[in-house]
Amino acid sequence: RTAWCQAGKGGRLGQGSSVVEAALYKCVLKPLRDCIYAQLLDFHSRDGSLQKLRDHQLSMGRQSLAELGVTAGVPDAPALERIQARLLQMHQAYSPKKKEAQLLKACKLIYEAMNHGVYGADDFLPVLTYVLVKCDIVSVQLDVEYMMELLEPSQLQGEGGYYLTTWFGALYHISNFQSAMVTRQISIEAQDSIHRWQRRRTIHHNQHIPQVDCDILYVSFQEPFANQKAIPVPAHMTAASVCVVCSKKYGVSNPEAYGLFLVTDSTSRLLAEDSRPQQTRSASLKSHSASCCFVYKLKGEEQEAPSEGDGLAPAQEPI
Amino acid sequence: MAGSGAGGGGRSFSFKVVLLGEGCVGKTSLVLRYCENKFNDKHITTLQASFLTKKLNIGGKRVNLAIWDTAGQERFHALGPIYYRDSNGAILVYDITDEDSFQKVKNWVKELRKMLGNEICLCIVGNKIDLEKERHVSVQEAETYAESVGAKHYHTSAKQNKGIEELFLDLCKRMIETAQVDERARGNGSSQSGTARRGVQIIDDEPQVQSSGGCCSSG
Repeated sequence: RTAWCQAGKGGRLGQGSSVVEAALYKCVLKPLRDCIYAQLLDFHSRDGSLQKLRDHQLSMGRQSLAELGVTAGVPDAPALERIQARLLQMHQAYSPKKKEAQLLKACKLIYEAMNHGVYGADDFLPVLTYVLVKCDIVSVQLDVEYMMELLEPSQLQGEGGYYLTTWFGALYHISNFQSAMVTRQISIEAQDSIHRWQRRRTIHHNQHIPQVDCDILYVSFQEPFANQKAIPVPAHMTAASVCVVCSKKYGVSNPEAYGLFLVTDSTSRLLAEDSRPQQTRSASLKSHSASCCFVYKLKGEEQEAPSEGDGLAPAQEPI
Repeated sequence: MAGSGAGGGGRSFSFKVVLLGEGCVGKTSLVLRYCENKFNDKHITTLQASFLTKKLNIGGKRVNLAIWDTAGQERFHALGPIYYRDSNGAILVYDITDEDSFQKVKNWVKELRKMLGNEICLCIVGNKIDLEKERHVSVQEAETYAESVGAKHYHTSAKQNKGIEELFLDLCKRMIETAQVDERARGNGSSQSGTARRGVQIIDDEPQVQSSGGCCSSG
């Protein structure tokens, strides 16, 4: 992790002068690249996210194009090979800018395979997902993280930044594929991670934007991922206090009948009034990889976890 | 990159605008219509409309717009924040013949206000006015709603190229205003903090004048 930070500083120092930047990349990042990869791999192996990515790669690989939401053309075998070659070059580069250039070339190849129409994000993201599932997705994950951490936020405003964001999004989409109710809302884990990244990397984040996303707890009403609200919940706040906030947010007339539940794929547990939801959340994030959700609902219902299984029930109401 | 370009002329602004809306509301056609005459060859391909740029000149102020398209399908909904972070403006498109798409816009507005506050300029756009006969979202409802959330409402037809130029021009003017108000609020004087707020870059038009013999400028 220290290596990572040093590298981060190296990248930042290079701002303003591309010569200095390139030199810094060479002396700092070139020797560090493999170490950064190894540390990221180690980190993600331990938190289980790598395994999840691989598992979902397998299961999505078995899906039809329609199931993946693909409406445009997809690359054939030779085109896929060309894309994979680009990705290999991307992985070998140590300079985040060179990686970015390879990523854009891969995007271009994908567009070319999409049957020469004019395509927006609605079309591109599903095809990109299809491609990533067919590639060395772990290397791509490392590369995307490498770039997102080492490129200056100001460098992320242009085309390279746009596509990097899209790749990051596609990887998250794959990571969270079919983990309960993914069609309704990304898992809390992913949301948490996006927020943490956003907080670190958003330009001037703490100057004007209200600090809404610190200690935010997402609470749904009645059923998981329905009518979700973001509630600021400091670490020491109790479930009882969270319930008070919820009763106002959702305007329930009989707050005593409601409680805060932790709902996972198969279980639904009422939180004790004096428990601390933030602690519960960190504990549950550590303990199981399945997604979980805080739900504010009637207390009588705790035995029956919603048996939606993979949660593919069509969305009746907008989130 | 520091601010302080004295007087109004010769200033340039860079803005990021994010495009939100359900699939099939025509957001891609809309932005393509706007940018199609100005395709930039440097783009990775001229055949795509996910990321587009446009240069404008508004009363002597130069504006570089970067337009970020997002995937409107429900399954990608949660990726919104990574796209709209650092945006100066958002264009929220619905289809006037599709009530649901208008509800989606309302959800986006709520989310954007929650995450980005009031600094982001919101445009709510009712597209497909060429299908007026099949309208399912009333003009009055849409306009009243927009006003209630501090957004501006526009009526467009990507098909007939109606209302699009006005939409973008108006949005740019509002973003310039916001950037200038912000700049003033920060104290328009000295350099360092003038760099950027949320991606607004104010760049001096003239190349920097070397004050004296450049001591360390050798290659």
